[in-house]
Amino acid sequence: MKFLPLLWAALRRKPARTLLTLLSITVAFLLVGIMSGLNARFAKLVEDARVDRIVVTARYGVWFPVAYVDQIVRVGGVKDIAHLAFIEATYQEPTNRLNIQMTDTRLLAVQPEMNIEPRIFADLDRVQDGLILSQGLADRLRITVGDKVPFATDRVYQDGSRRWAFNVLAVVPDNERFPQGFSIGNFKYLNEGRKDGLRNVVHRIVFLIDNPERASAIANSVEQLFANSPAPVIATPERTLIENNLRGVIDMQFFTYAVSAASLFMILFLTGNVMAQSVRERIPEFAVMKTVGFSDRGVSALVLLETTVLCLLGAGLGLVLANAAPTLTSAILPGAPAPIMTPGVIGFAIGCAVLVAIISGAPAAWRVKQLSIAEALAGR
Amino acid sequence: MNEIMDAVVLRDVVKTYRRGKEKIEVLHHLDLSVKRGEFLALMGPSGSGKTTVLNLIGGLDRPDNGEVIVAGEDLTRLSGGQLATWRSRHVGFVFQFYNLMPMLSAERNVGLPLLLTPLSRAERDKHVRIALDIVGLADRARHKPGELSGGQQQRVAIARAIVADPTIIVCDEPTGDLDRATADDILALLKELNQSQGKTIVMVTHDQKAAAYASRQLNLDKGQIVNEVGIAA
Amino acid sequence: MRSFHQIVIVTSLNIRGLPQRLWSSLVIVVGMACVVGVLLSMLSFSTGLSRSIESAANPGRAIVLQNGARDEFGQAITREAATAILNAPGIQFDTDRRPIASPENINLVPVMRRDRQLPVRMILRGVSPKAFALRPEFRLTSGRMFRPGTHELIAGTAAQAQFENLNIGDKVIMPDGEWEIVGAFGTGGDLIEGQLLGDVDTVMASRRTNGYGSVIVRLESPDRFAVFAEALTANPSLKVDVQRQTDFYKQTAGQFTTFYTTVAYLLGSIIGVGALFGTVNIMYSAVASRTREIATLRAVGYGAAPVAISVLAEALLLGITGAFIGAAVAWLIFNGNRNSFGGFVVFDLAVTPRLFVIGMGWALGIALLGGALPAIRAARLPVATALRAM
Repeated sequence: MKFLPLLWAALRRKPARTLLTLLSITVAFLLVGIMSGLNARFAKLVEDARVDRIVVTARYGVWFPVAYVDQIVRVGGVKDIAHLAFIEATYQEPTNRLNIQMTDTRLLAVQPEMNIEPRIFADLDRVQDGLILSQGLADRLRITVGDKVPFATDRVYQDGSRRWAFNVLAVVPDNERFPQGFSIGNFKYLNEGRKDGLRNVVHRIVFLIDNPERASAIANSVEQLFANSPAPVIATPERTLIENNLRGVIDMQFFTYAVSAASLFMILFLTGNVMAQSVRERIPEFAVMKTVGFSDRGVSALVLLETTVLCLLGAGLGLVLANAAPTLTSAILPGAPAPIMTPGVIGFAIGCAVLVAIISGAPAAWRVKQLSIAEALAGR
Repeated sequence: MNEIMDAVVLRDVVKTYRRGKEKIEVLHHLDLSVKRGEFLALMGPSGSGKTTVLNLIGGLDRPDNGEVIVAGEDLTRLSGGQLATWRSRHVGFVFQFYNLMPMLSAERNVGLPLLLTPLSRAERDKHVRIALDIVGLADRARHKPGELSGGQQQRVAIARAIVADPTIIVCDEPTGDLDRATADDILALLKELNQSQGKTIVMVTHDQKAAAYASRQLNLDKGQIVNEVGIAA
Repeated sequence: MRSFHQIVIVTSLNIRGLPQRLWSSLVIVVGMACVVGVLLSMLSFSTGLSRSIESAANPGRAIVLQNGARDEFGQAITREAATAILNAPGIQFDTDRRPIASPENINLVPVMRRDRQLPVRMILRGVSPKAFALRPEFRLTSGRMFRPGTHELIAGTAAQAQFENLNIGDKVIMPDGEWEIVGAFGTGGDLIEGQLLGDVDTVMASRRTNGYGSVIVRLESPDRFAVFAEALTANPSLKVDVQRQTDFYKQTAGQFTTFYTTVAYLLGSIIGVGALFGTVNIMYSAVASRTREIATLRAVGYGAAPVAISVLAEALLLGITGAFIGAAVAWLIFNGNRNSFGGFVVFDLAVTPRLFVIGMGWALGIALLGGALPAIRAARLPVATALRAM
């Protein structure tokens, strides 16, 4: 636009002040970007979860018999099925945590999005203490194929200790669906090696169904199978499960809006004040613009434009930083979900920037609109 | 009076200002006319209303009573927005303290009025160049006001005043802040614009030597014309 | 003390000039309020959660867990082991000459969370007869106690408030059928109040399990812990860990809250940096607008240091005002709000005096950092040029 040089000159008038204001706005939008990015991530986790995959967990405790697989598989509509037991392990430092899924080759059919070659799973079947790691996890722990790594766990091993040694068979590419990385081991290793009094029990059974619309009906049938047994189960479609888990601790939506509102409110005041002061200093210049023929509305529009450019610039920088934030947060909080920049997130930020610009620029724009030329010039 | 010949006609103009509870009548049923191509000097003591007359002619202010007709247009009938547009096309201002935008270069300052026109970038640049040539500052186009002397800044202001080819140029103490030699240069430039380009100029000054450059001189006192002196061109 | 005198005078001049700089001062106040408000609101989550967990601990109680266990979920403490534990020295005896000790067992039961209509699982704690002598904070508030050997439960009042269908007369579905809630209890708001209690042997029978998850004992006195612990660790047939209950719950609280506390400080830092830039910005303008005043003071003989300190003092005053407002808003909105961690712990969000102090400190830090550069600028003002510019 032809008025850009005017705006640019105005912003460069007090470069330190403009820069500091811009920095505050950037930081505020960094926060807005992170919060709404996290919100978007949570929404995506739910959206990516499959409605045709059902997760079976214990109703009253944490373990239930792996034998249930044989009965579940006979329920109408059940396609592929697999079982899972988790081992929480740490490697060297207590901060290097893993949640190892101890399972068998059937997991590949049930969770095809893992994108792992079948032959790798076949290897795992043969090598009982084998381990498959995702790339990011392997890099973080500095483990490579062929390593024999001891993990400290919460399960007792045969030798009485809680150390389980694994043979790293393969390191597979990261998958966006599993942002925290994943690790897979052989269920037999856990089942035969554990010495805590439990045997042939699992944390989860996961299966695919043929018709997503029958999900709750099939889930109910599965629950009924074991309703009168000593270890009843709960069967939930995966999407519902993830949604419930995410909502269980914090209300992410409220959290996002509240924190964003606080930071935006903060810069609303700041920007409003800075603009008002800047305009006050430039009264004579605005008077001259009016003498030259700029209308009242024209100069006030220029002021609003100035504020908007400043806010949009800050919002843009803030979003760029928010995009880079995951690398920082994963250093402080390894394994935490990372924000994603969706068009929705970007749109929200831009909308907020424009709103803040208009509200904070309004008093200054009004001042300039009402400015009487003769009075302003008479000051000289 | 033949209004087609007149660039400016003020008829029965009254203007009062409010200061606190006081009402001060600055212009008292004033009649005044300026012919096309005239170089008029308005003189008078402070408080005589000469700056007010200038503001009215330039469309910067409205009278409480009477008519202000500039280039055939009755300014009292125009709305605020229309007045602004009219200003951009018909008036050029030159102030005592130059009133340039400190953060813009000379050429951007001069081009300010043209931003309001539909002219293309190339056309605007052309007009600016011509204006700067006329005032003799083509080589200083990129400089900021802070890098120019007082006289040079006033030249830039004059270039800005003429860049949109206005009907009338209005000057408020244009040499008030300049030394004698520079003041003479500026006044000579104004006279040149008046004589070779036919620009109507109305200049307020309290400097008799400056008034000598004009073709006609009016003295104001207490909002009324008290004296009229015609000076041969 | 001439310096101090000067500082006081210059600072009070400063403060007296604040009304003219009202709006810009308000920017700092609002900024600090936002930072402290956001920080304390987020910390109220972890603080409330920790408080609910840790207030269930008593220094006179010890907890015995399966070796290496971090929680009471296990089922590895056999009846024989429990008997051995109850025979250890250091345990307080009740008037009936039995040890005040309770082997206990935790189970998860599906319930519906009221505030978000969310299915979660809450804790059903199987307790032994001595569990109530063990916990003097326990009070039955309505209904009656469950009878051992029957399918009866009592519900904590916090649980009743947070989850649906836990009123007296409601039924809870267990593996062996329906169990009835016959009473309600309170424990002063700690995490036990968010649980269901039943007879441990009957509960274990219902789940066909045979091992306790923990044994909780009342010690003769807190100093008897060492004796008790040594006796158990010295026993080769027992593979257990012994801890003071306070240590155990502190560790549990840490497990739950560390992540959220870190997130709170992380986000609080980010918004704090924004407020920091704002403070520098505004204080620079404040100094610039007072150039004449500062130059005059300096010319008249006031030192550079008092001038600089007065600038800092202004920033600190505005910062503290903002912090107060932010803390008050956080307290008003969040303090006392009932929440639960899934279904595991029911707690109230807590904006405590300790959090107030943290918020105050945070604001002071930002104000000091933000005011430092402008203060230095004020001190190094070239007096002569500033006076000439007037």
